[in-house]
Amino acid sequence: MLSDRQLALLLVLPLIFLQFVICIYPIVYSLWLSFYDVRLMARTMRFVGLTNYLKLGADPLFKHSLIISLRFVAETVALIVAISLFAALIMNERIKGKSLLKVAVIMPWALSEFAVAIAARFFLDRNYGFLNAFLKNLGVIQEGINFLTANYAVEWLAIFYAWNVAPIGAYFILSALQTIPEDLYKQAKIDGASAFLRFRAVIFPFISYAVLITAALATILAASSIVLCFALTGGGPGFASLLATLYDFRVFFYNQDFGYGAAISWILLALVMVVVVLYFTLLTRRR
Amino acid sequence: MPEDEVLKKKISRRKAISRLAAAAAVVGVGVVAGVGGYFAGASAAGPAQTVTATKTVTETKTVGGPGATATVTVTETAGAATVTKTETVTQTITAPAKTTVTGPPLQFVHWHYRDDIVHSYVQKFEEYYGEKVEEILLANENYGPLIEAKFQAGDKIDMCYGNFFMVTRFIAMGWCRDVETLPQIIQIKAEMYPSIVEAYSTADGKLAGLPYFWSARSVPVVNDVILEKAGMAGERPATWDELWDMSRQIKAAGAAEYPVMPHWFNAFYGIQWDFEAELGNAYDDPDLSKTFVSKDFEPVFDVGTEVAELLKTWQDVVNEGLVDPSVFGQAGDSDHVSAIVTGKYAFCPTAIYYFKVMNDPSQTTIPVGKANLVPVKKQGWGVIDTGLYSWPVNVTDEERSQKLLLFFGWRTPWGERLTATSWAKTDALNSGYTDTIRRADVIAAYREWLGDRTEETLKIMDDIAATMSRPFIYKSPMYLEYANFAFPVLSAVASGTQSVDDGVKTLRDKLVELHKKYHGG
Repeated sequence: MLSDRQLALLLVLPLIFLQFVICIYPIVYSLWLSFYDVRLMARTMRFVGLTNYLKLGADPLFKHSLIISLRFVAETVALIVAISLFAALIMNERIKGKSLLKVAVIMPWALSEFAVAIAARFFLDRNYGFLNAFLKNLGVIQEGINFLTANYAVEWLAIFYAWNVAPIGAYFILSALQTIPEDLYKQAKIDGASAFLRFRAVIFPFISYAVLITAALATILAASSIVLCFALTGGGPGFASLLATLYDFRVFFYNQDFGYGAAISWILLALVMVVVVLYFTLLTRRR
Repeated sequence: MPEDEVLKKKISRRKAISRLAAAAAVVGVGVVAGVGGYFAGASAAGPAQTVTATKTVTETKTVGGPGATATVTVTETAGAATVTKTETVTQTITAPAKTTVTGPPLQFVHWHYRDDIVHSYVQKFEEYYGEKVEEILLANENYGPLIEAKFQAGDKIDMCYGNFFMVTRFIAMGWCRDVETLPQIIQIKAEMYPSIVEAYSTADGKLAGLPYFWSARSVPVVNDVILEKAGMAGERPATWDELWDMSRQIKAAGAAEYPVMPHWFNAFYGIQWDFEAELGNAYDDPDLSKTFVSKDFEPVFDVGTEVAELLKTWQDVVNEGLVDPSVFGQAGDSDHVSAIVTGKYAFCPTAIYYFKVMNDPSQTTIPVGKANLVPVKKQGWGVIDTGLYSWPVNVTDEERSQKLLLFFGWRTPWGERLTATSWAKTDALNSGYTDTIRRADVIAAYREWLGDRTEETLKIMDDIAATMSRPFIYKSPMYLEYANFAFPVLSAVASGTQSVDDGVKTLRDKLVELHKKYHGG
């Protein structure tokens, strides 16, 4: 007869095994790989120490893609927090059709990044896109606008990624909003507090933790995003929207430069970790 | 009782259980029947089937070295017109008694394209040989990396799809082999277009695989509606320069905001292939060994050469507003074709296999008969788009995998060119074999959507097969890495965010680096 502890261990064992096979082993393997120069054609694997990491400093494309990624993440996080907050505040109001609104808000979250890319294409295209057709019908423009230019491709990626991810933040914040006692609102109103003051003094202290969680989650997701960029712009025009994740994917899988690709992914992971640790330091302080 | 009433009725637990049991019994019978059918199919004699084949016969002669013979079909010509004699052969074929195939199923790895049709070919193979084939479908966008991962993992694969430059890598890595050891190889080569044999052969002249299809990318399709608007009805450019000149006139006439939707989307098979097409076509250098990369795989271009001249032309036509700049934001084929079918452009260089889409009123706004290929006159058009059946080294069974390869890539045991003919009929895919496009049933299939333009169009396709770019660099395993590096550079140069000289130097430096990496140069 198994003891409770043994039974628990037995039940958890498959999960630990899967976790090891799917996550831990590849992660450790990629770290190991990052110290090697792998040559498929020559079938050689040579230990090169930190050379792959040092190479990064001299790779202009990596630097460029990192800047693009930082821009994308910053814009995406700002948009996600703003949209989430706005949607949560609306959903928290006593308005007609609230249930429908809640469904409408969560719907983009149900889409895969690839589907979002297709939707974005149908929205933005110069020839058959919704936005151009809409503007033309309003008489605002005569000829279609090319929205996915080198200057603005990253911004469009950020907008559509935020649209995809913001619903989950909205629901985080909504759940926090619903913990605010009704009396506090009433009291603030009686005291004559303006809407902004009510938000700052009553609402925000209750939801700040949820907002921070949303920002942390948005950062992690945006920093690891690749599909939207791959399918909507392919990193272009030129290199204009080449995210570091897409660059890493090309180095690793297309060029099959496994050591260098692994080194890029570890640097990206380290950068995300720094930001996440920062978030969680803030979170802990708040609590 | 109407179905909705039945559904509305509350079903008792007993009824539910009994229905479940009945359903299980039906499924069980189905499974038993299926399994039984499989084993029965594998052991019993195959069904008799009638095959109607149409063949074009003109003259035959025997070629080959000692101990090897092959029959070659030669088209007899009289003046400019091609004279062909068509005869229909009807045979009744009984498949040989099949033996039970006891080994594991054959592994056929392919990308997604008309999976239903591919599966029907697989079924025919299974039926005839009493075989079992497992199809493994890999995502199109990452087909190369995914199949290479399978090879690296040591998976047994009996046959796989590959673009030629992929197969070059597979062979260089020792994962696949050339097909020179096939007993029918002389016959096979004799039946193919000489240009396709050359394009599908490795640097040392060995046929890398059997042809699945060939197509050409960046082949200009003209929209006659726009030309008529511009008062240039029926005119055709004979060179890329003439195409840009005509575009200038079209723009000046106000017939199109952007006369050209170039094949410049942001993928290696987009702008990179267009570069190879235009360079080879415009400078009469089909294998690009004089203008781009030599037969030793070393770059032969620099600032001030043809490559720079071409890129300068691109920047100029962008600045003149001759091409739609939205192409730089397109990620792949679907974006590109979706733009073309709006009918807003006078010239749309594209893949030949999308030419059918442009002539299908359910998929395009271009009126029927108004989207046409441009005849080959002073120069070739396009660059080859390759598809091969590749023969891996680590197979389930030598003999069985060879049968699979020949069935798909050459002929069925009853002599039918099954897949090539079907692809030509259903999807207008070009075959590596010269006779496919001359078959009466294939011509009839083309006629269904091309009408009286059929002969002219098929002639253009034949001319393109002989004259399109067939870059020698495809024979190097470095090509894929180069192409994936190069396409954003070309896009940046064409869109004006990088200078021509910078772009040329970047491309050259990369090729020097890759030459060293792959060829020890």
